[in-house]
Amino acid sequence: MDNERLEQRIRDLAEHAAPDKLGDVLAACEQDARKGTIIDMNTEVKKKRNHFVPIIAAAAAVALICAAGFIGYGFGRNTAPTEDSVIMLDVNPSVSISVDDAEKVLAVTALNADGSIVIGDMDFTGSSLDVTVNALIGSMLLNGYIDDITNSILVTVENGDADRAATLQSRVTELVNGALSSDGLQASVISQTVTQSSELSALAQQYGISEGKAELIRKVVALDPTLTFESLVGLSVNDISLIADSRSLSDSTVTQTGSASDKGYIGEDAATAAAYEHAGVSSADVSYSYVDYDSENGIMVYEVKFIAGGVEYEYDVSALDGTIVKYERDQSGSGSLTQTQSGDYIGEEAAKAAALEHAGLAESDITWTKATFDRENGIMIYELDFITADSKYDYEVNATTGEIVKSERELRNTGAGTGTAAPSTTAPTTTTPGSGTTTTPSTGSAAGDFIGEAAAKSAALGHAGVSESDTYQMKVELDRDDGRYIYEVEFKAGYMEYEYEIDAYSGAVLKAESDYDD
Amino acid sequence: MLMTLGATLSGGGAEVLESYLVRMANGDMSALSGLYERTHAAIYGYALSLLKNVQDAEDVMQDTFVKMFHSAGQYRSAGKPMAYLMTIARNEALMRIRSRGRTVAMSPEDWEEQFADRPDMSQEDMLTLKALLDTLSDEEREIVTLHALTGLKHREIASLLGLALPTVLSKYNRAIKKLGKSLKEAE
Repeated sequence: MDNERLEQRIRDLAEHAAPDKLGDVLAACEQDARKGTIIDMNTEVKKKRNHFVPIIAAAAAVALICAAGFIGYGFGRNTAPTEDSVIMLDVNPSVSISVDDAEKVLAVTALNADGSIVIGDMDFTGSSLDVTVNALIGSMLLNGYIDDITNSILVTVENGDADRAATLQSRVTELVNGALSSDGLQASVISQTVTQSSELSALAQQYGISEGKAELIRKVVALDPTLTFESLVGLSVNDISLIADSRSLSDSTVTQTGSASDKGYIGEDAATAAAYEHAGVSSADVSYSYVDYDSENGIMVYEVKFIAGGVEYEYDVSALDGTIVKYERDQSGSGSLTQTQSGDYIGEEAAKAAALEHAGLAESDITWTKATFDRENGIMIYELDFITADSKYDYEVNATTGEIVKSERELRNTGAGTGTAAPSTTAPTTTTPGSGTTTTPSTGSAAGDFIGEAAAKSAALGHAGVSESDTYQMKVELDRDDGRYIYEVEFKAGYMEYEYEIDAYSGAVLKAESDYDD
Repeated sequence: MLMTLGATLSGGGAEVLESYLVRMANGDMSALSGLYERTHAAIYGYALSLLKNVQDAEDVMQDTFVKMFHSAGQYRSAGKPMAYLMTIARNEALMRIRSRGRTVAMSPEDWEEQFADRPDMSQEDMLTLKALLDTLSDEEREIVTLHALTGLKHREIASLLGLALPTVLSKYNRAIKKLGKSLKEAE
């Protein structure tokens, strides 16, 4: 049962269990307020089920859609219609609309859980694109996905023909703007066109987002080497837009009307003040300061950099509530802050290439598991992790010079399958020869009956009650502790840091620790 | 029709709720009726999850509406009427818990009996209720019911409960998973 279904059960329960106390409530209030008791016609109509109240014009379109769908489809079509374009709408709900060359809708697909809430049980087959876009936007408004805090919507049109794609792009943008402005909302519509590519769809699939959002993130990351795909992938379109705006990133292929709302956040001034206070400096002491939006492990932060009394400070301040998420202080006076605003960094792609070259591997041999941009001991680095069929690699690449700062290779336990049994009584004294470059003992000889990394990971996640998609910096290592083989599983989720020891044979949780991640 | 329940329970259309509050501030009883129809199930469900007692939940729901009617003038438009309503409901419920010392939890037999006069309550609803009560901690239950019934976002729930957003997220994920597992076993 998925979350939405479970929540529906709770809603059903509340609807069914709630007593009818309107009469008592009215009577109690009436005693104090004798201003007349006209009962709202909409609610007087007796009880439950069908209090359908047209809320906004868009809601009416939602109601009409079923009828439209019925009539529109099935007439004069003997052959299956073929897909001409795909239009993706991303807010946080992501939906994709597939239309034929006459702009009749073939299918509307939810690309994430929020998307399926938006679609509900509306059937758009055969409807016009206009009606469909109107209804979907109406439903996003109704369900609270678009409001004055989250007002950005991404429109992506996919069509092989560039002219046709561009026409559709501006038409859908107009439609979306129209549907939103009737609600009096200051919305921001970001639009782009994409061409189908297997690379893009693989990227979208890997992160569970739409191809449109993947493309947008790719463009933003390409413009600012301090951003990585991974750091943006969990954010809403509104947040991505805020980050891009704050860094003045613009791409000629992306069009934007209106601007992203920052009403949900505390503002640059408050963030700067929080950072100064934490650092114990007053604004009079500050000789240089710079603020922009960033994301730290999926949380929107203001990145506040400043120099006071010859010391460089870099703060990440939660954009939601002003808490200090991370800070660094650098007395070396290298002056790196002042010179690093622009394109001084080599960029994620170049860093990846450097790591692969060092490892002697090609991109096709490996899977990236981590790519973040971070500051370590005063220098900016890319932390890049990847895996191959048998090994796990951790790299740190100097973001300015491309120099390899750290490289590690560990053999992975490739799970059960090899027949070599490893009795749990094996004494720890048997020394494993290791294979040269690896930094942990070879696991090959004893891997036979181990449950495998994946199982160890899910045991830990299950215990923590966290789903893997909510975690970051996941690390799983096979280790030997007092003669017993264990998996050490470490990961972070939200503000928490988790450490687990999982019995490598039984999967039992031997040790569980969780702590605030400072 | 698919929007009907969503609009009723999830508080979809903050504008509508807000307009009711504005009219209530002027003593408009029809607005109170409108607000009641749209939100009473959510408020009752939330109160029940906090109090674990049918009679107390009914009283708290009623008190909440009376309180809202009188204090509607204090509502400052912030686009968050649902959060406002839930804050009142929560305060009413906590006051009741304090006044009676502790929660008087009811046994499963009591539940069956208490809901005997609710013709809409199905066997499925009883199972959902039992799973909510038996499987989840008070805090988990509160977070899950708020999310399901009010349409409030996690960050709004966090601010309502005075918790950090990540705490709410991880508790919600944990709770909904436990709930799903428990219902799967029960059915």
